[in-house]
Formats: sequence, structure tokens, C-alpha cells
Amino acid sequence: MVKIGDKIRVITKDENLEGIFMPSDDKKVVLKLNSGYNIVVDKNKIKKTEVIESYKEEKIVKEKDFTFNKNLKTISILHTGGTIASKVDYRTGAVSARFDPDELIQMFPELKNICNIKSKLIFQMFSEDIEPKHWSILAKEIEKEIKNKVDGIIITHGTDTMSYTSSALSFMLQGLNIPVILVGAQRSSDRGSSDAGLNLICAAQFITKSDFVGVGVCMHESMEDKTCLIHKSVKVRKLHTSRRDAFKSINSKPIARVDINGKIEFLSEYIKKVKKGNRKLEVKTGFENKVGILKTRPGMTNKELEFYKNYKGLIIEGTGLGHMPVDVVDQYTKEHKLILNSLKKLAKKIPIVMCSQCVFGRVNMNVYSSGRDILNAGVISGEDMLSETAFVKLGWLLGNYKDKNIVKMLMKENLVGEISERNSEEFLE
Amino acid sequence: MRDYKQIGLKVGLEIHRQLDFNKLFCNCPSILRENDPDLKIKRKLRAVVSETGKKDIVAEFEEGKGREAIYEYYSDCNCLVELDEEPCHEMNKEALKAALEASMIVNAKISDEIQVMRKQVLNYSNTSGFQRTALISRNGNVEVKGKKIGIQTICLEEDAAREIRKDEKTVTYRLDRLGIPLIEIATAPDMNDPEQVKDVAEYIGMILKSVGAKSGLGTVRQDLNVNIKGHPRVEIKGVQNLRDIPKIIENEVKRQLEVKNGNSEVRMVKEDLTTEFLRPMPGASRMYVETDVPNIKVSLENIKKPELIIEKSLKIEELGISSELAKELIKNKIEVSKYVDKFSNIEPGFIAHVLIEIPKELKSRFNVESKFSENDFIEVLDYLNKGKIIKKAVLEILLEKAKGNKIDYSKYGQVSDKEVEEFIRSVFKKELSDNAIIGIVMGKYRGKVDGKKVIDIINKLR
Repeated sequence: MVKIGDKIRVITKDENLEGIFMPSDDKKVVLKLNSGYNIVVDKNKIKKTEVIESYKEEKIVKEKDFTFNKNLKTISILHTGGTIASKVDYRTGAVSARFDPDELIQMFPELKNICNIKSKLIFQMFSEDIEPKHWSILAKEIEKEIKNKVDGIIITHGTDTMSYTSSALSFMLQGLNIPVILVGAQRSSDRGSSDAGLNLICAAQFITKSDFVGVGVCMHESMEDKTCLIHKSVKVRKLHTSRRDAFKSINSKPIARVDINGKIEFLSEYIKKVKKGNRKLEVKTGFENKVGILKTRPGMTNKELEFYKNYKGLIIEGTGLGHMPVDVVDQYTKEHKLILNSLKKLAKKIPIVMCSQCVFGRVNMNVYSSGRDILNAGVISGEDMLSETAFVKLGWLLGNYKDKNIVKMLMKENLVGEISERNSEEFLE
Repeated sequence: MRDYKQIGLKVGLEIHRQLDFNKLFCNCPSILRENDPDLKIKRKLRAVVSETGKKDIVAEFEEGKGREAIYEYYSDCNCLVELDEEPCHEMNKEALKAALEASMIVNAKISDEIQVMRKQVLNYSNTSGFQRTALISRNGNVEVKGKKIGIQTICLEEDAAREIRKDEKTVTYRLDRLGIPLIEIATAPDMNDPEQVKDVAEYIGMILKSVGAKSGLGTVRQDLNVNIKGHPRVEIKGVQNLRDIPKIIENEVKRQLEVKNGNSEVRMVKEDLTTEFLRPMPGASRMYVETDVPNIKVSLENIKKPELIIEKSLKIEELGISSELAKELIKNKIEVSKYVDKFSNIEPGFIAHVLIEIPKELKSRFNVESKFSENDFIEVLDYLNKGKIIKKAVLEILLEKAKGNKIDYSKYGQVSDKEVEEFIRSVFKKELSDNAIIGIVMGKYRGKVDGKKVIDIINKLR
């Protein structure tokens, strides 16, 4: 049996090839040649394969000088996936994620002088696969760590749905009195240029050197490896598919700017740590999955609204100040009456919250008649909430409060910073 | 003269040459910039740790220098890919085609499926921390001056960023060059004479030009692998000029013979053509798979072995065209044989002169920029071929055309010798100088008579 990593000889009709056997599929053999290049050979062409040298795993060298330093604070790193820390097997080229504290320190030696590290693998998944149930599990894990008296928590997370998770944790962990910072990477850590290192180190610096408590997101501020921003968990969105600085605060200033040396510049008001016993952690992990998000568009029909009749709640991403096609103005807009009727019917059954496709700015349905029609139908204004945050909030409220009127009432109230009373001038700067 | 056979000299060549296409993994044009950048970006790289806890020796060496990089970004020839802010796109098909053609020329075995690799490079010359490179073919050969030289590999890779400045704390790289497609041809260590190495390098350079490589300073870099019996192999980088190859090898052999315990290492050519230590020799360990591009199944349909420049040139020279003009015709992608077949009454050498030299002359003598179409040339040459104009008139007609004027070809028709002689007789006066008479004659017959003929007639009359 040929194993991955074995040095083998492959004999085909017209040549003999020697190299390291690499992960291959059932139709081909991938060999790493002496030069380091991989070569792909069609299995049909292979006459014979011989093992020249069986692969003996080299002993993994562990960081020796990792010891507990009682003068430093302790951070627990909870891994959910994404590749904050990866190692490359140069023999086979395989990349594997790493989670042991000593391995993290080996990769990011700066951490050693910032904090003591505990590390735990909770999930290992792409963030697009994360379900609300995972948020609940994660919230309970955080509760456990808090009971173990850590000073702060870093959660490594894929970037795609990171702001959903950060919002969910904010709602689920009421009365949090330690910092919980989510960290991701836009360039995976199997490349020298990964942004993971700076994001992780800045998060550790922020946790150990500030009095902030609550949930935040720590990612690159710009395309440079200079500073990171700590964003409010419920006011942040991934706005770019690939750039390091993809995460931007929306309708809010970030909490702070941090550099690799631990210099912190606060940019907005934040909740500060209080003396032990003065704030009580209340973990509410209920969540109602049957909440939809509907993006309105030209050409939509009332069928799309009616799809949600068996749901428990709906977020509408309307246009502009919170509009959707409900006016009949000519022969082509007759459907709009049906949309308004369906909306009225649906709003009697379930809470419907209006947010805006504009992303930036506040919903205001009082300005135009169509907006007033939508309000009168029973739709709740999502104010300046991001639709993702509104979705998480509604699912969480429905999962924890039975009375629909309380859900509707709380939806309009600012619970964890998701609704701003005032909006500042910042806009894509 | 040193006896290279006796010391067991073995030299291998690695030739890297830029291709004249857009970048290898994005659609940016492959142009270099000298103006101020549109953006400067500061970055740091860190070595990726291996499974066994070790960092690659070269990677660690480079990381250990602890500098920070400043990248100069140009919006007309860079995008988010060069900034490492976007995954790379698919491999440039034209560049791949060129690499496959080069493989065919040297009879190398082309891989069925190509896997793009990442070669870890931490000197900051690549924003990602690695260079993308792909093995296209193996085990070919070339024959140069009757000797067969093995071609080990042909690779297609992206060029690195250009180092602009360096101090204790920072190194500045310009991103214009990053991503330009490079073909790398590596020979076997089959050469044992410094002059032969130069010839082989020249020949391979010609092969690469035949498949669409760029020409000029900075578009080609040669590395030399120099090995003498009983000494470790040394790789020499930064050979710019082919002419310097024999001298560099000679100097390196001298150095190796003087050093007692040399290391296998990478060295850099200095201005005086001796070498200095650059870094340790990299191992195979710094290569791993580029997971952002799927493997490429190679299809050789629609790809045929291209004609070598040297073959093309010989064919053109056989028509009676000088090798200099032949080179220019090939460079400008002009198919001269088409014109030669069509205009059998005109000497091929003159056709080439019209196609290549006249546009240059219009620029240098009259400062007129010409953008002639194929039809412009065909029109003028057709009049000449039918004897309706004289050779001398071609320059003037093309000058008028370049200025955008309409051409009255009847002005340039031939006049009979008899008519010219009669006119000269009518204006001839003994006291007039030759030049004065020529002036009068040319005033009437410009573009229709040869100056030499006029002088002959004047002499007859004197």
C-alpha cells in the first residue's frame, strides 16, 4: 500500500518518475518531484508503482518555553473554523489548521509577551455552514470559560457570516463583563502575507490593555499591516469579498483602533468593565430559525410574501427609506395592490421588520405615502439596523419571548447597541 | 586558457524571459512605470511554519532580516491581485500557449495536467509571500553548434516586483512588474565550456522570442549553475548580458578553486562580473500547491510548433533581403513574401526597404509620424510594379500619404530619356554650374527622373 508522503517510483509507457506520493484521487497520481513541482499522472498510463522509501513522520517540535506567566492576563481562544493558524506539510504540501496554544505561539511569537493562552476547538467549519444552533453552543462555551475566570475570549471565525455570529452572541450573552472578540482572516494563514497574525495579536492587545467589555470584531483597518479596528458586534458588515479591510462599521463609529504594540485609540463610547458582582451574566440561547429575509425588487410578486405565511417572523430589505412596490399607478403595477394586501395579511400573523438595501442610513417610512401604507399595514421600522442584525435580533426575541407584543416592542428598542439614537456623518471614508 | 575538461566543469542554464502578454494571473497590462505611484502600501510577511515545526531555511533567512515592505501601486498596470487583496484569476491562455509552443520546439514532454505551485519567497518581492509557478514540460533538448543539450524543465511563472530602494528598516518594491508572465527554461548541466554556455543561452533566447517573448534590457535574466569536480554546486543569479557569461564563469571557477570549503549557495553577479553571497540554496521544501486555481487539463488542439525566428529569417534572406531587414520584418510581424509574390517586377530588397526603412526615414528626416496600412503599401508598390512611377518617387509619395494628402500618381510617371535630354539642351548655358542646371531640371521633373541621369547628360553637353 502506498501512503501519502512515501517516496515512490511510477513507471509509465514512456518514462520512469520518482517523487513523493501526494494526496491524489482515484483517476490520477500526484507526485512531488525533487524540484518541488507536482506532476499529475493519469492512472491509466501507469504500468507499475514501487515504494522506494516509506514515509516516517518526523517528530513534531513543540515550543518548549511556553509557561504560564502569572503577571499576564489569560485569554481563551475558541476556534470555530477559518484558518487563523495553519501549518504546511512541505513534504506533501498539505495545509492543516492548528489549535494548540504552543503551536499558536510558535506561529505568532508576539503573543507570548501579551497574554497566557488557553485554546479550545469548538467547531471546524466554513462560516457559511454555521447555523443558529452553533451560536447557542458557542454562547454556552463562552459561559464556561467565564466561569473558569479567563480575562477575555477570542473567537476565530470564518469571515462570511462573522457579523451574524457576533450579533447573536451580543444578544445571547446579556450582562457580559469580559471582552469577547471575534477574529478572522481574509488571506488564509498558509501564506506569508496572511492578515491573521495582525488581527489576532491586535485582538489580544485590545483585550489585555483595555477596560472594554462586550462583543467586538477585530479586523484590518486598511490594506496595510498597520492597525486593526474593533467594530461593534451589531454594527459591522463584510463589505468586500476579498480585501483585508472588508469589515466596516455601518451607521456607527468603530469602538477603537489598535496597533500591534498595543496602542489603543478609542473612537466611540463603549461599555466598561465593572467590579465583580455588579453585573450579572444572563445567557439566553433560544433562537427561532423560521425568520426570513426578503429583498424587494422591481418585478416582485405577492407570492414571494405569501411564501412566509408559515414563518414566525420576516425582515424586509426594502428600497431607500424603507419602501416596496405597493402603489398602483398604471396597467403594469396592478400586482402592487396584491403585494400590499398580502403584506397586511402577513403582518397580522407575524412580526415584519423593515430594513434598507441602502445599507447605510436609517429607515423612515413617514416621508412618502407608500412608506405610510407599509407602516399602516403593521410593518415595524428597523431604524438604522443592518438587515442581518435585525434578522438575528428577531430570531433571538422569538426564541426567548412567547408574547408577540413583547417581541414587537423589544424589536423597536435598543438592547445591545443595535439601534443608534443619533447617526454621525461617517459614510464610506 | 584553463583546461575546463580537466577540472570537470559542468554548467547548467536557467533562462527566464518575460512574455509580451497581459499578466499571468490577472488581466493587467505588462508595462513598467517610472512616474510616481498612485498608492503606497506597507506590509509585513511571516514565514509559514511547517508541519514539523520548522521554517524553510531560505524563508527564515529572509524573514530574519525583519524589514517592512512598501509597495508602490499603479492603477493602470496593477489591480487587487498584485496587492494580494483578491484571489488570482485563471492562468493567461496566451502565455500558456507560448509555453506549450516552446515545449514543442525543444521536444519536451508536456504534462497532461498542470498544477500551479506556490514557491515561498519572503524577501517581499511577492506581496503574497510566494511566487506562482507551474511545470509545463520536461526532458527536451536543443542542438547548438552540433552539440545536444538537455532541457530539463520548462516552467511558466509570474515575475516578481521590482526592488526600488532598501534601507535598514524598509524595502520598497514597485508592483508594475509583479505578475508579468515568465517562461523559465532550465538546461541539464551539459555544458563544459564557458563560450558554449553563451551560445546555448543565445539560442534559447531566440526560441523564446519565437513564441512571443519580450526583448530588451530587463526582460531576460539568466541564472548559471556552476559546478566543478569536488566542489558544491553554486547558483549564480543576475546575469543580464549574454556576452558576460564566459567571464562570469571564468571568475567563478577561479573563486571556487581558491575557496577550500565552499557551500552550495546562491550568489549574485556584481558589476565587475565576480559574484557575492546572496542566500542559502533553497530546497524543494518551499513549494506547495496554489489552491486558488484549479488544475489545468492540457489540450494541444489548435497549437502547432511555431517557426523559429532563425528559420523565418533564413527564408527571408533567401529572397535577397539583408539579415538586418529580415530581423526587422520579423519583429514587426510583416510577411514580406506576400509582397514579393505579388510584385515580381520589384527587387525584394527594395520592397523590404519600403516597408521598413521608409517609415523610419519619414520620421528622422521629415519628422512625420506615419501609420501606413497594408493597403497603402500595396497601392504604391502596385504603381511601381506596373512601371507607372519610378523607384525614387516612392519616398515622396509615402511622405505625402503620411501627411494625409491625396496622391496624383500621374505626377510621378516616367519621362523618356529623350524628353529630359531635350529639356536640358534648352536650358543649358556654359556659365551655369552643374548644380544650378540640376536645380532647374529637378524643378520640372522632380520624382520622375534620376539625378544620376541628369548629371550624365550635362557631362555630355560640357
